Amino acid sequence: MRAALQALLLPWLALLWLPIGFALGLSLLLAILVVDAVAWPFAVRRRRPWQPRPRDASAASIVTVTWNGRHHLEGLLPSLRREVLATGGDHQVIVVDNGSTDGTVEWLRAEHPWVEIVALPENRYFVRGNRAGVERATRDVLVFLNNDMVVQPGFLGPLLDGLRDPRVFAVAAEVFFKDPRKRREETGRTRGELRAGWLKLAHVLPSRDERALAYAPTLWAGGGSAAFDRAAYLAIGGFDELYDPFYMEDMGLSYEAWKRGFLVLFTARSSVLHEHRGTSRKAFGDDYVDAMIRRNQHLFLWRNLTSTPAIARVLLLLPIGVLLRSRRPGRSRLQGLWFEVRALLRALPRLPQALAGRCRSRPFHVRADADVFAHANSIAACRRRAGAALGELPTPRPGGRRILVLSARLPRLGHDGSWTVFRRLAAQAKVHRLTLFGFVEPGDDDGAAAALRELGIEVVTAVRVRNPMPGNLHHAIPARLWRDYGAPAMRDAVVRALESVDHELVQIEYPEMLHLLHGAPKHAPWLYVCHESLGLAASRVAAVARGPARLVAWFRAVQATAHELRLLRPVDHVIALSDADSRFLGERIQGLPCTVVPCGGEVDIGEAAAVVEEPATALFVGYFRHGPNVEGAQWLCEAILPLLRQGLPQARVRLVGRDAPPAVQALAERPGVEVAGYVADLGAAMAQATVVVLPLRQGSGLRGKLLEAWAAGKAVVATRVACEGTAARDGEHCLIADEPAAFAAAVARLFGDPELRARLGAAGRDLAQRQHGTAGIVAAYEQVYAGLCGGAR
Amino acid sequence: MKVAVFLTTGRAAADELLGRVRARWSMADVVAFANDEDRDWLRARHPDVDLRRDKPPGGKVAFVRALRREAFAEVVVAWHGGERLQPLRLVALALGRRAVAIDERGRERRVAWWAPWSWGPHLLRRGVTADPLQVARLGAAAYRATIGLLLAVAWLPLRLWLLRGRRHRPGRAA
Repeated sequence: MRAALQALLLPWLALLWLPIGFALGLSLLLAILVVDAVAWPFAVRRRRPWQPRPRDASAASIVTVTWNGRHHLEGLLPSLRREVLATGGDHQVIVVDNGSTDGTVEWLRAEHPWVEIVALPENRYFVRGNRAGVERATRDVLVFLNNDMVVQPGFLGPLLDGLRDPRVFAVAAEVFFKDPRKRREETGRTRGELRAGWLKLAHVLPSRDERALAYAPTLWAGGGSAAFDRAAYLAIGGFDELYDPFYMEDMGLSYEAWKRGFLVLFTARSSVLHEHRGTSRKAFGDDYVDAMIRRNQHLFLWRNLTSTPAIARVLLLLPIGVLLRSRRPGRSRLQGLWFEVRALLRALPRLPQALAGRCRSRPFHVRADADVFAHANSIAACRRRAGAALGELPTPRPGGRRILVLSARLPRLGHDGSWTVFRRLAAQAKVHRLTLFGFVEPGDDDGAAAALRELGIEVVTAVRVRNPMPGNLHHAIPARLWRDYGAPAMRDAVVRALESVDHELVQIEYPEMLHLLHGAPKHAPWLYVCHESLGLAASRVAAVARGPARLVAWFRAVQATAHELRLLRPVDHVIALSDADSRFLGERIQGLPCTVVPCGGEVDIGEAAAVVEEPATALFVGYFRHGPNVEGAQWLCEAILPLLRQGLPQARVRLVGRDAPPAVQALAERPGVEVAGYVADLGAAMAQATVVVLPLRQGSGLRGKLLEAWAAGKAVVATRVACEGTAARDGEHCLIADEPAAFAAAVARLFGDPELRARLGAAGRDLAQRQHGTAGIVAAYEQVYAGLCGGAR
Repeated sequence: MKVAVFLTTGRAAADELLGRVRARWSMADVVAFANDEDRDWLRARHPDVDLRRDKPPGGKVAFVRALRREAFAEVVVAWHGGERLQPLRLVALALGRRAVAIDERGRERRVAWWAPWSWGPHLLRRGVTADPLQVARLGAAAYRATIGLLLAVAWLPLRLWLLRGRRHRPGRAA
């Protein structure tokens, strides 16, 4: 009953809130714009960028704030004492007691006389407590430690080393939880972005590169496990009392430092164990802490976001954002809505303070908001500014490059056509430091990733999910891409891969991945390997469609081509697998740098010595989730086979391949058709067949199955489309036919001519070895890399 | 002639209803869908009725599809007399045949798309408990299939024309 009442009430409250929220957001925006306009002339006149100054990073003042936390200090102080002695240097340890009643001060005086105590008469909470500690600090470096931390050996050295570079404002240590079963909500490596008018902040698990590098960028250095440059800290104004009593003060400080041109770094070489909200949640309760976080997020945005479009988006979307965020676990929507509105109301009295801070810091800003997020999130972007400050990563060979390969699916051997990508990457991994990001299907085993890891490739995977979001209202994106490669979670995974890998080149495999990258930040050249042009493939579907389906197919062709042209805009270079793809794209985009490099590599189709060739059997191999293969199989069985069987009644067709849809399975009911499904030993299946056929009229790119047939020494009958990307000539390497009658005649001719079969098989194998070897392909890629990354290494 | 009967009611009422159906369509093949507890009991009392499980494996859509293939001439839904929700009215509608709801006292009401009585309670309940995202998806799909499609037919070729032939200027790395 109560739930039903709430459900009925909620839409009305939401409707009531929308105009109120909009008016509030608009008023806030006007207030901020007026203050910005008034302050702007002063900001320009008093522009004072930060001048880096040398600092003594050999000693630090370590500040810890505590309130009734003697039990926490009993863990922290011994570990800190050990670390201070092991590091050496004239360090100062300050404990600020926020008026504890558990005898902390007396205990400290008795047990830890080496600690300086700042005993405050009352609880000034985190922000003002830390400020009291800083007043006592005398060293050039400040280290803030929560009282519920335990520092790990080697904690202090990397923090101090990082601060030797005068451009660095702060260095954060990696955070682990004392309870290893807890999900790592806090790691020390932080990122953020403005999305749909709201601030998305997160701690992320450090990637391989973030761990391997001496330092990686981080959006904010946590106020409980990081070292700061004292002079810069004081110049910025320290932890802002705007956020009193706690939370977001460290974010505000670091963000201001980024905007003033500093670097804020993370290092995995230094670590702490954390109780995680060991004091605040226990003392104040979850609701209060959450409310403070939300209130301070509003204040942060009002105080720090100086880009007019960004703050306008935040405030104009405020009413909708409040509604969207009102879904809170364990709470009803009504409670969630009240929580959000109350947090906003709590922030309003501090608006003047936020605006004053905004005006104060404006003259010092040298970075825009978008720049801050780009540099703080991405190693590649930060490296452009920080250079050697982050350290260097080794490559397998001197002169190798750091390449991030983004693939729509993990390449694997003996599966679909992705074996050619596998072979290429295997060869490239001997020279370059490759990180491969790819999607796997739900329930896939780890076999493909394990095989790639054995080659020395770092593999990061994410599970492909269906897009749950509404959208694509005007059919701008082909439905398949929107549904299968449009989920926000997938896009987030790709963006995180771009950010967390130290790369100098991004290599994009498959159009689906290019689609996912649309609008993603770009920090290094993009090389797109076009396995199949979306527009060309869709045009070919339209070309063979009949009746009303033809209209639909042409609509899809226009849609796919327009979308592909849009996707190609940020790409720096395209590698097309066939001339047809290159021509199609080149005719539509002026000056598109495009190189044709075929695919290939050593074919692994197994041994088939003991298998006897069956008479008058044509084999078609295809991965039947790929539409052109389904159409090819249907064309073969419905148009070609009947003509073939008119002259040769014993002629048979065998269809081999995974995931045959009902349309392909139904072909088995036709005379002379066998649907064999997936066969483990493709070599044996090839050897059994008299000829291999490729009746493909759709799709584009280069067909791996043609190379497989040639490698097996089989004679091939194919369409012109199926031979694209190879130098195959009719009658020399295979027989080429595009019409059903000609195709049937070619197959019949081969059935009856063993000598011709042997000659074509040998010539095809020779061509595959000469033109589709891995060495030649890799060399062509090297030339493209050199062009993109600035010369050979 | 085949008649389908959905027995979403108590055992006694179902027994009563089957008797009425049998009396009214005496020559028809009656297929009744009943829950696991009542089925054997009803089968013993109505041996001439094909009693089937009302929760077949394969999901709702497969269930409806299978029923549509059987081409029932009449579909009868047990009606409790009130206006409250009865999802099987929607199943009856989806079967595309003449459908009626009959209560244990023999009162009969027509189930039809044009009668809000047939789908109104269901819509109301779904509307109150629906996931906003699901509603948004539904709305987007409806828009996409109508106005969105019309606009796309007009502007996609224009867009392609505008994009085509443009000089390639890749964005600089940030």
